[in-house]
Amino acid sequence: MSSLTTNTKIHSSKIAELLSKSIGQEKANEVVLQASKDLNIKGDSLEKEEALQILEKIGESPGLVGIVARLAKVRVRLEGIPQR
Amino acid sequence: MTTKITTALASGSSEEAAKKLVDAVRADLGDKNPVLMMLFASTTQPLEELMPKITSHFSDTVILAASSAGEFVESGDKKDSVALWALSGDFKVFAGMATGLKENVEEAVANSLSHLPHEVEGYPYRTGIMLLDPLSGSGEEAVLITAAMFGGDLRLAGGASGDDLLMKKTYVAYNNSVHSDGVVIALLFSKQPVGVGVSHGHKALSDPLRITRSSQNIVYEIEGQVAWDVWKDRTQKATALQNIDPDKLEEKEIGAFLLRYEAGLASGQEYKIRAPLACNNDKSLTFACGIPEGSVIRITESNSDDQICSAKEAARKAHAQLGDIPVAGALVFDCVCRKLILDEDFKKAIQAISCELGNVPLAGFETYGEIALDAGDMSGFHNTTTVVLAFS
Repeated sequence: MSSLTTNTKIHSSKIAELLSKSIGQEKANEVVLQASKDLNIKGDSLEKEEALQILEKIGESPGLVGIVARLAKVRVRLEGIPQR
Repeated sequence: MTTKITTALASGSSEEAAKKLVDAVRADLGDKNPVLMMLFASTTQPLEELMPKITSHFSDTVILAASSAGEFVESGDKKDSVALWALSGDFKVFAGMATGLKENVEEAVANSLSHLPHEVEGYPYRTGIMLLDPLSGSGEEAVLITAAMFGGDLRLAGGASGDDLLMKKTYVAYNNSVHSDGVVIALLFSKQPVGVGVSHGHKALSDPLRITRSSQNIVYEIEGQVAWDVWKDRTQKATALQNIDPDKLEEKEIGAFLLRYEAGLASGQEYKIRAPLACNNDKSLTFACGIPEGSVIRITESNSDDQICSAKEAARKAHAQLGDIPVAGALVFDCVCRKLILDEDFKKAIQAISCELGNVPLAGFETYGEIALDAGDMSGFHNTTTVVLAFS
């Protein structure tokens, strides 16, 4: 289990970290924060379903941001948060 | 069945080059055909002319190719030539091709994968080798879509085609089909794993810089200023040491300049490198994949020693994935910027890779982007890296 996941909880920074590999840390933080606001999801400790909702919301974005979020959603749904 | 890898480097007319390459394969394999062949050709060796002269000799071999910006085998590199890499052994190989990356990357990638099997009984390991046109501006997008479509355990490696630094038009090919704006993928099923290693030797030289205006793979403004002007300004100290004056560069030299000073996206403790390929008339910069507005980059640079170390590191990583199994040979995708930095020492980097793997045969090309994605990775398109695909 990742140090930033507790039971089924996922820290929002871990979601941003997934996206950062393709779009950089700063942009990843920005889109995760914005999606959380749009969905009215408060706090950094997320249920898996909330994490998937955030990725789905970001996945609606055009271009690379949307593509990497859609891949992240597949990975989180199937495998949980990758350890790397 | 033992894995065997044949490599050759040929130049001359397309007839002469094709004959040398075919003779090299026949000398190694006799009448047997390889299961997969890769060709990397300079723009002076047009693939439209070359491919039919090769494919006619190997009717049941999957042959993929890319135009390149430099070609090499284990003994060294050349310009204006064709490098051949041929794989024989117990593999099942399938391939697909599509065009239209620029217009609709998701549809193009889906089309290239549509006829490929997801599994082959008795061959538990899957490795994809992808070649794509980076001037379509969707390198990372194509790789991530492939990963999403194939899922979990697919290991992917490859390179973005080149055009000898002209930055005008590049090509990929599958047998006799040769296209720009295209993607080709070979899917290998094997009984043993194939090792993938990737490494780069670049470090940040600028402060963080926010992309303030971009559209897809074109960056117009950085920190509210024209992109090209920012690039010149922030590299000033480094270029002065190299006796380079960016204002005096000719159009054909700007691509090489940009490939020396690439963009780095922060990701944890590392930088993900993104290559600006060209400066446009409006002083915007064209990249090999999307650069979202709001991204923060650093301009990066590297020196010769770090480039040789990173090549060895990529080979070491690929070797480690094979465990104790001896390496039969390797396919190498090496960023064209590395040749620009290393110049005559580029040969040392190639030989270092071969040496790290046990003095094995290898072939590859100088790319405009490299592909390496392991199971679980969230990014697979790279710049300034060496990608090593090691076979046992």
